[in-house]
Amino acid sequence: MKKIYFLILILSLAGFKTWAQPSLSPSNGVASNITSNSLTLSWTNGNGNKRIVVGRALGPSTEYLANWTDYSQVDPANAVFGSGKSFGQGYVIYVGTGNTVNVTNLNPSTFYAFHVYEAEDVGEGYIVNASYLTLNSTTSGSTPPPNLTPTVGATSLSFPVVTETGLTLAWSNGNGSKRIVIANQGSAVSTNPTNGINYTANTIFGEGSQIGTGTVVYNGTGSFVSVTGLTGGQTYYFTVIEYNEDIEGEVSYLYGTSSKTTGNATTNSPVTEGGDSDEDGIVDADDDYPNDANKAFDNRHPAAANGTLMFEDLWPSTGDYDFNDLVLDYNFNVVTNASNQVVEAKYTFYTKAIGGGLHNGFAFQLDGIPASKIISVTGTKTTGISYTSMNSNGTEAGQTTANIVVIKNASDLLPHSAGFAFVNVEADAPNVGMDTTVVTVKFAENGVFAVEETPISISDFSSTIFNPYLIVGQQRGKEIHLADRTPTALANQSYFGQQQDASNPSTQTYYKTASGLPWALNISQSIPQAIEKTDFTEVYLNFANWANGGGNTHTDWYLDMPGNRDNTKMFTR
Amino acid sequence: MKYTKFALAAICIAQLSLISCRKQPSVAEEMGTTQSSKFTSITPSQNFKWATNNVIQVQLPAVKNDTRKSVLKIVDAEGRVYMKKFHSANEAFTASIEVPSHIKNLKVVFAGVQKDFTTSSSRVNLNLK
Repeated sequence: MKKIYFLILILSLAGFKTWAQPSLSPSNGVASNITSNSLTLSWTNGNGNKRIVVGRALGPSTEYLANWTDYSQVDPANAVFGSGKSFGQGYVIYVGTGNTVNVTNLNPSTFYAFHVYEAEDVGEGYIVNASYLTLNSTTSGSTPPPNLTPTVGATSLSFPVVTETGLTLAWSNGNGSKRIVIANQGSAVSTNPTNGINYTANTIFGEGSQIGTGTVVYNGTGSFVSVTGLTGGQTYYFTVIEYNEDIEGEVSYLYGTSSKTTGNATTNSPVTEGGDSDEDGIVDADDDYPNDANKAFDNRHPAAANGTLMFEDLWPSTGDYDFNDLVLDYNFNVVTNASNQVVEAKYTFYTKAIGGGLHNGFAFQLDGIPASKIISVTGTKTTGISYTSMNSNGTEAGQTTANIVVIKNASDLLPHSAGFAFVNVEADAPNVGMDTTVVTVKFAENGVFAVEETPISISDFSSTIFNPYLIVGQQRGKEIHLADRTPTALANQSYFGQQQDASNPSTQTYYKTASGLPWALNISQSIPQAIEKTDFTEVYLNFANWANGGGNTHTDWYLDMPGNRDNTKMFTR
Repeated sequence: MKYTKFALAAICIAQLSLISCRKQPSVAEEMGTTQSSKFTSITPSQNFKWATNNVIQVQLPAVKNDTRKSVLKIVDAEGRVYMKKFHSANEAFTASIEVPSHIKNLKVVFAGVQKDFTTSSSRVNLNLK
């Protein structure tokens, strides 16, 4: 009985086995036994349990194996060149545990490039080391046939039938013996076919051979094709390219710009289940703006509600570390359209405490976003500002990336109670409320983008590009950012290294003391500010533990949980 | 004229009394030199991120020949949405999201499929099959 329990234990443990990416790539590659139609590839294995070989004629593969590779991406492998899975304008040659493969069905006197990857077969796919071994070789034999290229391209591309999920395109043939049609969704076909490669066509969009981002939907002698598998309301681009093929199967394409015919068509908008009132392709139930075809989704940050920004404002000197010289709650909402392009971002700031005597401004930078991509900025409180100037679209002038000055002087926004030096930080002071500032940054107006060719994708507009900062005493060059966030182009870098600041642009170290302490904090949810002159660590009791522990412990120090806060030392009225 | 002088004097007195009621903050008052600061005894590691958010790069590889197109969401257990987009399964997608450090688990929801992942890693690679 004990043996059975032991066996069950072993089997259970096996179920929790973890797999690692191979750290060693194949090495010592050799191509040998080279004939006019075959060669042998050999190599020294890395430390995975399998090798994957892909090969292409006339140049290296245009596609590379990702860290995670599904079986379907490389299956089937076949050492008969051209018989394996299409991959990167070539084919998958080999998947196995060995260290050699004999490749056949090659053309004479033709250059071939092979990539050998080290992989770990984990039962659901492969974990692949992206560093591959390259093996190049040219077969022996006679030179390829003379130039076969046609001289007259196809013309007169038209779309006689267009439905929601398919269309028919027709053209007039040139003088090639055959032609291929390449299709691409959303943008023009930008990659030409490669001479020497005969592509596989499939009239189901996306299932034929891939050429660049496009796929081959036709390969034959005719003058029309009906393509299916399309998405409603989307624009598809097509290119028809003539070619000739000799008796040995060698192909040569006519793809000069003036020789190929191109065109595009937009499929009919889909009839969606549950209704799509604005016909933007997103059903009303999923659409945050069901009646606005130019907007589809909200992406809010923080996801919960508001975050809190807290500043010490005596930089480059340190202060009293109560982090209440300026305190703002904030949130923002990045609005995208059905194509996941950013059309608008709305930033809301709640100025709720001023525990410093300086009259500070507040701004933020959108790291990496050019100001030219913005149509307008509205809602800022900068009337009469004299310490900086704005571009016509409302962004700050003189910057290399988009900067939005939100508040000229925070002290103008909240009233001081009689008898109190500060606002909403003194223990016996009344709560004077907070000021709300809503700034709208528009990247598109009525569906038209500021830079029409290159709208910003949601993948390039992460919340991490939000780079808020304080403008100390309205001295424009004196900025205080969160630790290690980059200063703007208008920051006066002569302050760096002064007093207690240890910023060092050469190491991308900014706004920290020599011991690594910051001047500003960004909390992922709204928290109350400290009573004036109360050390922050005495208010948030696990803050120091969190920082001293490298952020690995007390990760919830900011939550209102037992042991986290001393409520008597925070302004909670 | 007498009345005018009297009025001016009264205004000045009122203004002075108001100003004197309000404490004037000074830079020295804000500085921590007058008290010992526990904050300065913190010794963070050199590369410590003073952030209560974890940044996670979510990678969704293309699923070849998969024609599913649907809204994709990244959400936590409470239903809070960290990202929302229209997604085609046969297209790769990568994005960075910021997640409060106390949130330990998230999931990607797409076309009836749900993929759970933890926030312990700065990069996750999810297959939407």
